[in-house]
Amino acid sequence: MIKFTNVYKSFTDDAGQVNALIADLNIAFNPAEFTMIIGANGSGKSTLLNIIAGLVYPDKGTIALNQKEIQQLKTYERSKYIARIFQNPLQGSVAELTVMENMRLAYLRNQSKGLTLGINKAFKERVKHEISTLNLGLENKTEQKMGTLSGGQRQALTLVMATLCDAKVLLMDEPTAALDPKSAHSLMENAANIIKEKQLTTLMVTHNMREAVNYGNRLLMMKEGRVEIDVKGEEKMKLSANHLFDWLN
Amino acid sequence: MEFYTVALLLGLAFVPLALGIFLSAKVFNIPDITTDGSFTLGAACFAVFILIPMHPILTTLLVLPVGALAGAATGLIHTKLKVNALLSGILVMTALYSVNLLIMERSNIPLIGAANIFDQVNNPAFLLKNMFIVVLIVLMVTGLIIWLLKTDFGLTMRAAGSNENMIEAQGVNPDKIKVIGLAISNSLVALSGCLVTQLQGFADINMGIGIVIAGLASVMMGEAISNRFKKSSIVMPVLMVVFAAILFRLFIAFILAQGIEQVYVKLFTAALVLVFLSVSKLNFIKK
Repeated sequence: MIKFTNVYKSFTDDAGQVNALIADLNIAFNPAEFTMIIGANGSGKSTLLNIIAGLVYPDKGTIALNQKEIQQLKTYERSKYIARIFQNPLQGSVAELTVMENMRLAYLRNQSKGLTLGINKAFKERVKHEISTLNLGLENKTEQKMGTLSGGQRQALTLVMATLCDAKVLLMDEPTAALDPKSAHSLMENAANIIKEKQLTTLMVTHNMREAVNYGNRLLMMKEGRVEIDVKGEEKMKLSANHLFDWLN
Repeated sequence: MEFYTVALLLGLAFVPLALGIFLSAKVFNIPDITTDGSFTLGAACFAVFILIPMHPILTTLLVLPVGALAGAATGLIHTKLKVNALLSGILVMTALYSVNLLIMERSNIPLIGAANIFDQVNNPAFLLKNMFIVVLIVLMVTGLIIWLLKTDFGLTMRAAGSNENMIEAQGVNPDKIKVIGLAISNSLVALSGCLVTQLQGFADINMGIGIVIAGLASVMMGEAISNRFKKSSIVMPVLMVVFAAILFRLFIAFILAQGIEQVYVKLFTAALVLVFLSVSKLNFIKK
Protein backbone atom coordinates (compact mmCIF):
# COMPACT_ATOMS: atom_id res chain seq x y z
CA MET A 1 0.00 0.00 0.00
CA ILE A 2 1.01 3.60 -0.60
CA LYS A 3 0.75 6.23 2.10
CA PHE A 4 1.22 9.98 1.58
CA THR A 5 1.98 11.98 4.73
CA ASN A 6 1.94 15.80 4.50
CA VAL A 7 3.23 15.75 0.94
CA TYR A 8 3.77 19.21 -0.47
CA LYS A 9 5.10 20.23 -3.87
CA SER A 10 5.16 23.72 -5.31
CA PHE A 11 6.61 25.59 -8.24
CA THR A 12 7.49 29.23 -8.62
CA ASP A 13 6.12 30.83 -11.77
CA ASP A 14 7.74 33.55 -13.88
CA ALA A 15 6.06 36.25 -11.82
CA GLY A 16 7.75 34.90 -8.70
CA GLN A 17 4.52 33.58 -7.26
CA VAL A 18 4.60 30.24 -5.44
CA ASN A 19 1.91 27.81 -6.58
CA ALA A 20 1.13 24.55 -4.84
CA LEU A 21 0.97 21.60 -7.22
CA ILE A 22 0.23 19.25 -4.34
CA ALA A 23 -0.89 20.90 -1.11
CA ASP A 24 -0.35 18.96 2.12
CA LEU A 25 -1.66 15.67 0.88
CA ASN A 26 -2.50 12.92 3.38
CA ILE A 27 -3.96 9.86 1.73
CA ALA A 28 -3.48 6.09 1.57
CA PHE A 29 -4.10 3.60 -1.22
CA ASN A 30 -4.70 -0.03 -0.28
CA PRO A 31 -3.65 -3.21 -2.11
CA ALA A 32 -6.00 -4.11 -4.97
CA GLU A 33 -7.57 -0.68 -4.77
CA PHE A 34 -8.17 0.65 -8.29
CA THR A 35 -8.37 4.41 -7.97
CA MET A 36 -9.56 6.69 -10.77
CA ILE A 37 -8.27 10.25 -10.57
CA ILE A 38 -10.10 13.03 -12.35
CA GLY A 39 -9.73 16.79 -12.30
CA ALA A 40 -9.07 19.78 -14.54
CA ASN A 41 -5.71 20.38 -16.17
CA GLY A 42 -3.21 21.60 -13.59
CA SER A 43 -5.14 20.13 -10.68
CA GLY A 44 -2.18 17.95 -9.67
CA LYS A 45 -3.28 14.53 -11.02
CA SER A 46 -0.19 13.79 -13.04
CA THR A 47 2.06 15.34 -10.39
CA LEU A 48 0.60 12.87 -7.91
CA LEU A 49 1.53 9.97 -10.19
CA ASN A 50 4.95 11.43 -10.97
CA ILE A 51 5.72 11.82 -7.27
CA ILE A 52 5.05 8.12 -6.78
CA ALA A 53 7.11 7.17 -9.83
CA GLY A 54 10.01 9.41 -8.81
CA LEU A 55 9.93 11.83 -11.74
CA VAL A 56 9.07 14.64 -9.32
CA TYR A 57 10.43 14.93 -5.79
CA PRO A 58 8.19 16.43 -3.09
CA ASP A 59 9.37 19.57 -1.25
CA LYS A 60 8.06 18.20 2.04
CA GLY A 61 6.46 15.07 3.44
CA THR A 62 6.93 11.35 3.06
CA ILE A 63 5.64 8.66 0.72
CA ALA A 64 5.71 5.13 2.04
CA LEU A 65 5.34 2.00 -0.04
CA ASN A 66 4.52 -0.94 2.27
CA GLN A 67 5.91 1.00 5.28
CA LYS A 68 9.14 1.83 3.43
CA GLU A 69 9.82 5.49 2.69
CA ILE A 70 10.56 5.94 -1.00
CA GLN A 71 10.49 9.70 -1.59
CA GLN A 72 14.31 9.89 -1.84
CA LEU A 73 14.75 6.96 -4.21
CA LYS A 74 15.61 7.51 -7.87
CA THR A 75 13.15 6.44 -10.56
CA TYR A 76 15.06 3.29 -11.47
CA GLU A 77 15.47 2.35 -7.82
CA ARG A 78 11.75 2.37 -7.09
CA SER A 79 10.59 1.08 -10.48
CA LYS A 80 11.31 -2.37 -9.09
CA TYR A 81 7.96 -2.17 -7.32
CA ILE A 82 6.14 0.23 -9.57
CA ALA A 83 4.88 -0.48 -13.07
CA ARG A 84 3.85 2.40 -15.29
CA ILE A 85 1.75 2.80 -18.38
CA PHE A 86 2.22 6.06 -20.23
CA GLN A 87 -0.20 8.14 -22.24
CA ASN A 88 1.99 7.75 -25.31
CA PRO A 89 2.00 4.07 -26.34
CA LEU A 90 5.49 4.56 -27.83
CA GLN A 91 6.98 5.51 -24.48
CA GLY A 92 6.43 2.25 -22.64
CA SER A 93 8.26 -0.09 -24.98
CA VAL A 94 11.28 -0.20 -27.27
CA ALA A 95 10.33 -0.03 -30.95
CA GLU A 96 13.59 -1.57 -32.17
CA LEU A 97 13.32 -4.69 -30.02
CA THR A 98 10.95 -7.56 -30.67
CA VAL A 99 7.86 -8.07 -28.51
CA MET A 100 9.58 -10.99 -26.82
CA GLU A 101 12.70 -8.93 -26.06
CA ASN A 102 10.59 -6.16 -24.57
CA MET A 103 8.85 -8.75 -22.42
CA ARG A 104 12.20 -10.07 -21.25
CA LEU A 105 13.27 -6.60 -20.06
CA ALA A 106 9.97 -6.13 -18.28
CA TYR A 107 10.25 -9.54 -16.65
CA LEU A 108 13.66 -8.55 -15.27
CA ARG A 109 12.39 -5.31 -13.74
CA ASN A 110 13.26 -6.36 -10.19
CA GLN A 111 16.33 -8.42 -11.09
CA SER A 112 19.79 -7.66 -12.40
CA LYS A 113 20.28 -7.96 -16.13
CA GLY A 114 23.15 -10.38 -16.45
CA LEU A 115 25.05 -12.18 -19.17
CA THR A 116 22.52 -14.94 -19.65
CA LEU A 117 20.49 -15.80 -22.72
CA GLY A 118 17.18 -15.51 -20.93
CA ILE A 119 14.76 -15.94 -23.81
CA ASN A 120 14.44 -19.72 -23.73
CA LYS A 121 11.56 -22.03 -24.55
CA ALA A 122 10.02 -21.91 -21.09
CA PHE A 123 10.14 -18.11 -21.02
CA LYS A 124 8.60 -17.84 -24.49
CA GLU A 125 5.75 -20.13 -23.52
CA ARG A 126 5.06 -18.23 -20.34
CA VAL A 127 4.99 -14.90 -22.17
CA LYS A 128 2.78 -16.25 -24.94
CA HIS A 129 0.38 -17.53 -22.33
CA GLU A 130 0.25 -14.14 -20.59
CA ILE A 131 -0.25 -12.33 -23.90
CA SER A 132 -3.02 -14.72 -24.94
CA THR A 133 -5.10 -13.56 -21.95
CA LEU A 134 -5.51 -10.23 -23.80
CA ASN A 135 -7.52 -12.04 -26.48
CA LEU A 136 -6.01 -9.90 -29.22
CA GLY A 137 -4.11 -12.64 -31.05
CA LEU A 138 -0.81 -10.92 -30.24
CA GLU A 139 0.75 -14.14 -28.97
CA ASN A 140 1.56 -14.95 -32.61
CA LYS A 141 3.45 -11.70 -33.13
CA THR A 142 6.09 -12.04 -30.43
CA GLU A 143 8.98 -12.20 -32.91
CA GLN A 144 7.94 -8.95 -34.59
CA LYS A 145 9.54 -5.66 -33.71
CA MET A 146 7.45 -3.63 -31.28
CA GLY A 147 7.55 -0.72 -33.74
CA THR A 148 5.52 -2.68 -36.30
CA LEU A 149 2.46 -2.86 -34.03
CA SER A 150 -0.35 -0.32 -33.61
CA GLY A 151 -0.68 2.02 -30.64
CA GLY A 152 -3.50 -0.04 -29.16
CA GLN A 153 -1.55 -3.27 -29.52
CA ARG A 154 1.55 -1.70 -27.97
CA GLN A 155 -0.45 -0.31 -25.07
CA ALA A 156 -2.05 -3.70 -24.43
CA LEU A 157 1.37 -5.36 -24.46
CA THR A 158 2.68 -2.67 -22.10
CA LEU A 159 -0.04 -3.78 -19.72
CA VAL A 160 1.27 -7.35 -19.85
CA MET A 161 4.83 -5.99 -19.41
CA ALA A 162 3.70 -4.05 -16.36
CA THR A 163 2.49 -7.22 -14.70
CA LEU A 164 5.08 -9.79 -15.82
CA CYS A 165 7.06 -9.41 -12.62
CA ASP A 166 5.64 -8.95 -9.17
CA ALA A 167 4.99 -5.22 -9.21
CA LYS A 168 2.93 -3.97 -6.30
CA VAL A 169 1.77 -0.73 -7.83
CA LEU A 170 0.45 0.16 -11.26
CA LEU A 171 0.39 3.78 -12.41
CA MET A 172 -1.54 4.68 -15.55
CA ASP A 173 -1.53 8.22 -16.90
CA GLU A 174 -4.34 8.55 -19.44
CA PRO A 175 -3.51 5.15 -20.95
CA THR A 176 -6.36 5.26 -23.46
CA ALA A 177 -5.99 8.88 -24.59
CA ALA A 178 -4.17 7.93 -27.79
CA LEU A 179 -6.34 4.91 -28.62
CA ASP A 180 -9.44 4.42 -30.75
CA PRO A 181 -12.65 3.64 -28.79
CA LYS A 182 -12.52 -0.10 -29.45
CA SER A 183 -8.87 -0.48 -28.42
CA ALA A 184 -9.52 1.75 -25.41
CA HIS A 185 -12.40 -0.44 -24.27
CA SER A 186 -10.40 -3.63 -24.72
CA LEU A 187 -7.44 -2.15 -22.82
CA MET A 188 -9.62 -1.12 -19.88
CA GLU A 189 -11.28 -4.53 -19.71
CA ASN A 190 -7.91 -6.25 -19.72
CA ALA A 191 -6.50 -3.82 -17.16
CA ALA A 192 -9.43 -4.39 -14.81
CA ASN A 193 -8.96 -8.17 -15.02
CA ILE A 194 -5.22 -8.02 -14.44
CA ILE A 195 -5.52 -5.57 -11.52
CA LYS A 196 -8.04 -7.85 -9.86
CA GLU A 197 -6.09 -11.01 -10.50
CA LYS A 198 -2.69 -9.63 -9.39
CA GLN A 199 -4.10 -7.48 -6.56
CA LEU A 200 -2.29 -4.35 -7.76
CA THR A 201 -2.61 -1.00 -6.04
CA THR A 202 -3.60 1.02 -9.08
CA LEU A 203 -3.85 4.74 -9.73
CA MET A 204 -5.20 5.88 -13.05
CA VAL A 205 -5.51 9.44 -14.30
CA THR A 206 -8.25 9.95 -16.87
CA HIS A 207 -10.26 12.64 -18.62
CA ASN A 208 -12.75 10.07 -19.83
CA MET A 209 -15.76 10.24 -17.48
CA ARG A 210 -17.19 6.93 -18.72
CA GLU A 211 -13.98 5.16 -17.80
CA ALA A 212 -13.90 6.90 -14.44
CA VAL A 213 -17.41 5.68 -13.69
CA ASN A 214 -17.24 2.18 -15.16
CA TYR A 215 -13.91 1.06 -13.80
CA GLY A 216 -12.18 1.08 -10.44
CA ASN A 217 -13.47 0.92 -6.88
CA ARG A 218 -12.41 4.37 -5.76
CA LEU A 219 -12.55 7.81 -7.31
CA LEU A 220 -10.66 11.00 -6.49
CA MET A 221 -11.37 14.41 -7.88
CA MET A 222 -8.49 16.82 -7.54
CA LYS A 223 -8.59 20.59 -7.57
CA GLU A 224 -5.68 22.97 -7.11
CA GLY A 225 -3.44 20.31 -5.61
CA ARG A 226 -6.00 19.01 -3.13
CA VAL A 227 -8.27 15.99 -3.09
CA GLU A 228 -11.67 17.60 -3.38
CA ILE A 229 -13.80 14.47 -3.52
CA ASP A 230 -12.93 10.92 -2.47
CA VAL A 231 -15.53 8.17 -2.90
CA LYS A 232 -15.10 4.42 -2.42
CA GLY A 233 -16.91 1.11 -2.79
CA GLU A 234 -20.71 1.19 -2.86
CA GLU A 235 -20.80 4.95 -3.14
CA LYS A 236 -18.51 4.85 -6.15
CA MET A 237 -20.73 2.26 -7.85
CA LYS A 238 -23.67 4.62 -7.64
CA LEU A 239 -21.90 7.43 -9.49
CA SER A 240 -22.85 8.37 -13.02
CA ALA A 241 -20.93 10.40 -15.56
CA ASN A 242 -23.35 13.27 -14.96
CA HIS A 243 -22.29 13.49 -11.33
CA LEU A 244 -18.72 13.89 -12.42
CA PHE A 245 -19.54 16.56 -14.97
CA ASP A 246 -21.39 18.48 -12.28
CA TRP A 247 -18.41 18.27 -9.97
CA LEU A 248 -15.95 19.38 -12.58
CA ASN A 249 -18.05 22.42 -13.43
CA MET B 1 46.56 -10.18 -56.21
CA GLU B 2 48.78 -9.72 -53.19
CA PHE B 3 47.68 -6.08 -53.12
CA TYR B 4 44.07 -7.13 -52.53
CA THR B 5 45.07 -9.81 -50.03
CA VAL B 6 46.77 -7.13 -47.95
CA ALA B 7 43.64 -4.98 -48.24
CA LEU B 8 41.54 -7.95 -47.12
CA LEU B 9 43.82 -8.43 -44.10
CA LEU B 10 43.51 -4.76 -43.22
CA GLY B 11 39.75 -4.95 -43.66
CA LEU B 12 39.58 -7.84 -41.21
CA ALA B 13 41.74 -5.93 -38.75
CA PHE B 14 39.23 -3.06 -38.95
CA VAL B 15 36.27 -5.32 -38.06
CA PRO B 16 36.55 -4.75 -34.27
CA LEU B 17 36.64 -0.98 -34.95
CA ALA B 18 33.48 -1.21 -37.06
CA LEU B 19 31.77 -3.29 -34.38
CA GLY B 20 32.84 -0.80 -31.71
CA ILE B 21 31.36 2.08 -33.67
CA PHE B 22 28.26 -0.01 -34.37
CA LEU B 23 27.84 -0.32 -30.60
CA SER B 24 28.23 3.37 -29.84
CA ALA B 25 26.54 4.85 -32.91
CA LYS B 26 23.78 2.34 -33.60
CA VAL B 27 23.08 0.51 -30.37
CA PHE B 28 23.57 3.45 -28.02
CA ASN B 29 22.85 6.28 -30.43
CA ILE B 30 25.93 8.14 -29.17
CA PRO B 31 28.29 9.78 -31.67
CA ASP B 32 31.53 8.75 -29.98
CA ILE B 33 34.65 10.49 -31.27
CA THR B 34 36.87 9.02 -28.55
CA THR B 35 37.53 6.42 -31.24
CA ASP B 36 40.24 8.50 -32.94
CA GLY B 37 42.23 8.54 -29.72
CA SER B 38 41.54 5.02 -28.49
CA PHE B 39 42.57 3.51 -31.84
CA THR B 40 46.01 5.10 -31.50
CA LEU B 41 46.01 4.22 -27.80
CA GLY B 42 45.68 0.55 -28.72
CA ALA B 43 48.53 0.86 -31.20
CA ALA B 44 50.76 2.83 -28.81
CA CYS B 45 50.27 0.42 -25.91
CA PHE B 46 51.00 -2.57 -28.09
CA ALA B 47 54.19 -1.03 -29.49
CA VAL B 48 55.52 -0.06 -26.06
CA PHE B 49 54.60 -3.30 -24.30
CA ILE B 50 55.88 -5.58 -27.06
CA LEU B 51 59.31 -3.91 -26.94
CA ILE B 52 59.62 -4.50 -23.17
CA PRO B 53 59.36 -7.39 -24.33
CA MET B 54 56.02 -8.96 -23.48
CA HIS B 55 54.24 -11.93 -24.98
CA PRO B 56 52.29 -10.81 -28.08
CA ILE B 57 49.04 -12.57 -27.10
CA LEU B 58 49.15 -11.10 -23.61
CA THR B 59 49.96 -7.66 -25.04
CA THR B 60 47.05 -7.86 -27.48
CA LEU B 61 44.71 -8.83 -24.64
CA LEU B 62 46.07 -6.05 -22.43
CA VAL B 63 45.03 -3.46 -25.00
CA LEU B 64 41.35 -4.26 -24.35
CA PRO B 65 41.10 -2.89 -20.77
CA VAL B 66 43.23 0.13 -21.73
CA GLY B 67 40.77 1.02 -24.51
CA ALA B 68 37.90 0.40 -22.10
CA LEU B 69 39.36 3.01 -19.74
CA ALA B 70 39.29 5.63 -22.50
CA GLY B 71 35.67 4.79 -23.30
CA ALA B 72 34.67 4.82 -19.65
CA ALA B 73 36.27 8.26 -19.28
CA THR B 74 34.06 9.61 -22.06
CA GLY B 75 31.05 7.86 -20.56
CA LEU B 76 31.66 9.28 -17.10
CA ILE B 77 32.22 12.82 -18.40
CA HIS B 78 28.98 12.52 -20.37
CA THR B 79 26.80 10.99 -17.64
CA LYS B 80 28.25 12.37 -14.39
CA LEU B 81 29.39 15.81 -15.49
CA LYS B 82 26.45 16.13 -17.90
CA VAL B 83 28.61 17.16 -20.85
CA ASN B 84 27.14 16.59 -24.30
CA ALA B 85 28.18 13.14 -25.61
CA LEU B 86 29.89 14.42 -28.75
CA LEU B 87 31.84 17.00 -26.76
CA SER B 88 32.84 14.44 -24.11
CA GLY B 89 34.34 12.28 -26.85
CA ILE B 90 36.20 15.25 -28.38
CA LEU B 91 37.63 16.14 -24.95
CA VAL B 92 38.88 12.62 -24.27
CA MET B 93 40.19 12.26 -27.82
CA THR B 94 42.15 15.50 -27.46
CA ALA B 95 43.54 14.45 -24.10
CA LEU B 96 44.46 11.04 -25.51
CA TYR B 97 46.73 12.67 -28.11
CA SER B 98 49.00 13.79 -25.27
CA VAL B 99 48.57 10.51 -23.40
CA ASN B 100 49.52 8.55 -26.51
CA LEU B 101 52.61 10.70 -27.06
CA LEU B 102 53.58 10.22 -23.41
CA ILE B 103 53.20 6.46 -23.79
CA MET B 104 55.14 6.32 -27.06
CA GLU B 105 57.71 9.02 -26.12
CA ARG B 106 58.03 9.83 -29.84
CA SER B 107 55.66 10.11 -32.75
CA ASN B 108 56.54 6.84 -34.47
CA ILE B 109 57.70 3.44 -33.23
CA PRO B 110 58.91 0.99 -35.87
CA LEU B 111 58.27 -2.66 -34.97
CA ILE B 112 60.26 -4.40 -37.67
CA GLY B 113 61.60 -7.61 -36.16
CA ALA B 114 59.53 -7.27 -33.00
CA ALA B 115 57.31 -10.15 -31.95
CA ASN B 116 53.62 -10.14 -32.96
CA ILE B 117 50.64 -12.46 -32.73
CA PHE B 118 51.24 -13.68 -36.28
CA ASP B 119 54.40 -15.50 -35.14
CA GLN B 120 52.22 -17.85 -33.18
CA VAL B 121 51.62 -20.09 -36.17
CA ASN B 122 54.59 -21.61 -37.96
CA ASN B 123 53.77 -21.18 -41.59
CA PRO B 124 56.22 -19.90 -44.13
CA ALA B 125 53.50 -18.32 -46.28
CA PHE B 126 53.36 -14.93 -44.55
CA LEU B 127 49.99 -13.73 -45.83
CA LEU B 128 48.20 -17.03 -45.31
CA LYS B 129 49.42 -17.25 -41.74
CA ASN B 130 48.33 -13.69 -40.98
CA MET B 131 44.99 -14.35 -42.60
CA PHE B 132 44.39 -17.39 -40.43
CA ILE B 133 45.02 -15.50 -37.21
CA VAL B 134 43.08 -12.38 -38.13
CA VAL B 135 40.11 -14.44 -39.29
CA LEU B 136 40.23 -16.32 -36.01
CA ILE B 137 40.19 -13.07 -34.02
CA VAL B 138 37.39 -11.61 -36.13
CA LEU B 139 35.28 -14.76 -35.65
CA MET B 140 35.82 -14.65 -31.90
CA VAL B 141 35.04 -10.94 -31.56
CA THR B 142 31.96 -11.14 -33.80
CA GLY B 143 30.64 -14.19 -31.99
CA LEU B 144 31.20 -12.50 -28.66
CA ILE B 145 29.36 -9.32 -29.69
CA ILE B 146 26.38 -11.25 -31.10
CA TRP B 147 26.20 -13.28 -27.90
CA LEU B 148 26.49 -10.15 -25.75
CA LEU B 149 23.70 -8.35 -27.60
CA LYS B 150 21.42 -11.35 -27.13
CA THR B 151 21.95 -11.62 -23.39
CA ASP B 152 19.74 -9.85 -20.87
CA PHE B 153 22.45 -7.24 -20.44
CA GLY B 154 22.65 -6.78 -24.20
CA LEU B 155 18.90 -6.26 -24.42
CA THR B 156 19.25 -3.53 -21.82
CA MET B 157 22.02 -1.89 -23.86
CA ARG B 158 19.87 -1.95 -27.00
CA ALA B 159 16.89 -0.56 -25.11
CA ALA B 160 19.01 2.20 -23.54
CA GLY B 161 19.89 3.55 -26.96
CA SER B 162 16.33 3.83 -28.15
CA ASN B 163 14.10 4.51 -25.13
CA GLU B 164 15.76 5.72 -21.96
CA ASN B 165 12.41 6.28 -20.20
CA MET B 166 11.46 2.69 -20.71
CA ILE B 167 14.58 1.14 -19.21
CA GLU B 168 14.41 3.52 -16.27
CA ALA B 169 10.88 2.25 -15.72
CA GLN B 170 12.36 -1.27 -15.80
CA GLY B 171 14.70 -0.55 -12.92
CA VAL B 172 17.84 0.22 -14.93
CA ASN B 173 20.23 3.09 -14.35
CA PRO B 174 20.81 4.30 -17.94
CA ASP B 175 24.05 6.11 -17.00
CA LYS B 176 25.69 2.88 -15.88
CA ILE B 177 24.74 1.11 -19.11
CA LYS B 178 26.14 3.97 -21.22
CA VAL B 179 29.51 3.97 -19.43
CA ILE B 180 29.86 0.20 -19.79
CA GLY B 181 28.76 0.37 -23.43
CA LEU B 182 31.30 3.05 -24.33
CA ALA B 183 33.99 1.07 -22.51
CA ILE B 184 33.23 -2.05 -24.56
CA SER B 185 33.07 -0.02 -27.76
CA ASN B 186 36.47 1.61 -27.20
CA SER B 187 38.16 -1.61 -26.14
CA LEU B 188 37.17 -3.01 -29.55
CA VAL B 189 38.53 0.11 -31.24
CA ALA B 190 41.82 -0.23 -29.35
CA LEU B 191 42.00 -3.88 -30.43
CA SER B 192 41.74 -2.75 -34.05
CA GLY B 193 44.53 -0.22 -33.49
CA CYS B 194 46.68 -2.95 -32.03
CA LEU B 195 45.99 -5.37 -34.94
CA VAL B 196 46.66 -2.74 -37.58
CA THR B 197 49.96 -1.85 -35.91
CA GLN B 198 51.02 -5.49 -36.01
CA LEU B 199 50.11 -5.78 -39.68
CA GLN B 200 51.83 -2.53 -40.66
CA GLY B 201 54.87 -3.06 -38.47
CA PHE B 202 54.80 0.38 -36.83
CA ALA B 203 52.76 2.57 -34.50
CA ASP B 204 52.22 6.21 -35.38
CA ILE B 205 50.73 9.04 -33.32
CA ASN B 206 48.53 10.13 -36.24
CA MET B 207 47.23 6.74 -37.28
CA GLY B 208 43.87 7.27 -35.57
CA ILE B 209 42.96 10.55 -37.25
CA GLY B 210 39.63 10.28 -39.05
CA ILE B 211 39.31 6.61 -38.16
CA VAL B 212 35.82 7.21 -36.76
CA ILE B 213 34.59 8.07 -40.24
CA ALA B 214 36.12 4.92 -41.70
CA GLY B 215 34.27 2.95 -39.03
CA LEU B 216 31.06 4.86 -39.63
CA ALA B 217 31.32 4.13 -43.35
CA SER B 218 31.30 0.40 -42.54
CA VAL B 219 28.41 0.79 -40.11
CA MET B 220 26.35 2.77 -42.63
CA MET B 221 27.07 0.33 -45.45
CA GLY B 222 26.24 -2.57 -43.15
CA GLU B 223 22.98 -0.96 -42.15
CA ALA B 224 22.02 -0.23 -45.75
CA ILE B 225 22.59 -3.89 -46.64
CA SER B 226 20.93 -5.41 -43.58
CA ASN B 227 17.82 -3.21 -44.02
CA ARG B 228 17.15 -5.13 -47.24
CA PHE B 229 16.65 -8.32 -45.25
CA LYS B 230 13.98 -7.01 -42.88
CA LYS B 231 14.92 -9.40 -40.13
CA SER B 232 14.07 -8.53 -36.54
CA SER B 233 17.09 -10.36 -35.09
CA ILE B 234 20.29 -8.51 -34.16
CA VAL B 235 22.46 -11.15 -35.88
CA MET B 236 22.01 -9.83 -39.41
CA PRO B 237 22.97 -6.19 -38.66
CA VAL B 238 26.13 -7.31 -36.85
CA LEU B 239 27.17 -9.70 -39.63
CA MET B 240 26.56 -7.01 -42.26
CA VAL B 241 28.75 -4.53 -40.38
CA VAL B 242 31.54 -7.13 -40.38
CA PHE B 243 31.02 -7.75 -44.08
CA ALA B 244 30.91 -4.01 -44.84
CA ALA B 245 34.13 -3.33 -42.89
CA ILE B 246 35.96 -5.80 -45.14
CA LEU B 247 34.21 -4.58 -48.28
CA PHE B 248 35.11 -0.99 -47.45
CA ARG B 249 38.88 -1.72 -47.37
CA LEU B 250 38.68 -3.68 -50.62
CA PHE B 251 36.84 -0.73 -52.13
CA ILE B 252 39.58 1.67 -51.00
CA ALA B 253 42.19 -0.73 -52.38
CA PHE B 254 40.32 -0.84 -55.68
CA ILE B 255 40.31 2.94 -55.89
CA LEU B 256 44.02 3.14 -55.11
CA ALA B 257 44.64 0.49 -57.76
CA GLN B 258 43.00 2.76 -60.33
CA GLY B 259 45.88 5.16 -59.84
CA ILE B 260 44.09 7.60 -57.57
CA GLU B 261 46.48 9.05 -55.02
CA GLN B 262 46.42 8.25 -51.31
CA VAL B 263 45.65 11.93 -50.56
CA TYR B 264 42.09 11.47 -51.81
CA VAL B 265 41.25 8.49 -49.61
CA LYS B 266 39.80 10.50 -46.70
CA LEU B 267 37.85 12.75 -49.07
CA PHE B 268 36.45 9.67 -50.71
CA THR B 269 35.60 8.07 -47.35
CA ALA B 270 33.70 11.16 -46.21
CA ALA B 271 31.78 11.26 -49.49
CA LEU B 272 30.92 7.58 -49.14
CA VAL B 273 29.55 8.08 -45.61
CA LEU B 274 27.49 11.02 -46.88
CA VAL B 275 26.03 8.88 -49.66
CA PHE B 276 25.03 6.09 -47.28
CA LEU B 277 23.64 8.53 -44.73
CA SER B 278 21.40 10.20 -47.29
CA VAL B 279 20.45 6.93 -48.97
CA SER B 280 19.09 5.56 -45.69
CA LYS B 281 17.16 8.80 -45.10
CA LEU B 282 15.68 8.78 -48.60
CA ASN B 283 14.59 5.16 -48.15
CA PHE B 284 12.91 6.21 -44.96
CA ILE B 285 10.82 8.83 -46.74
CA LYS B 286 9.68 6.33 -49.36
CA LYS B 287 8.35 4.00 -46.67
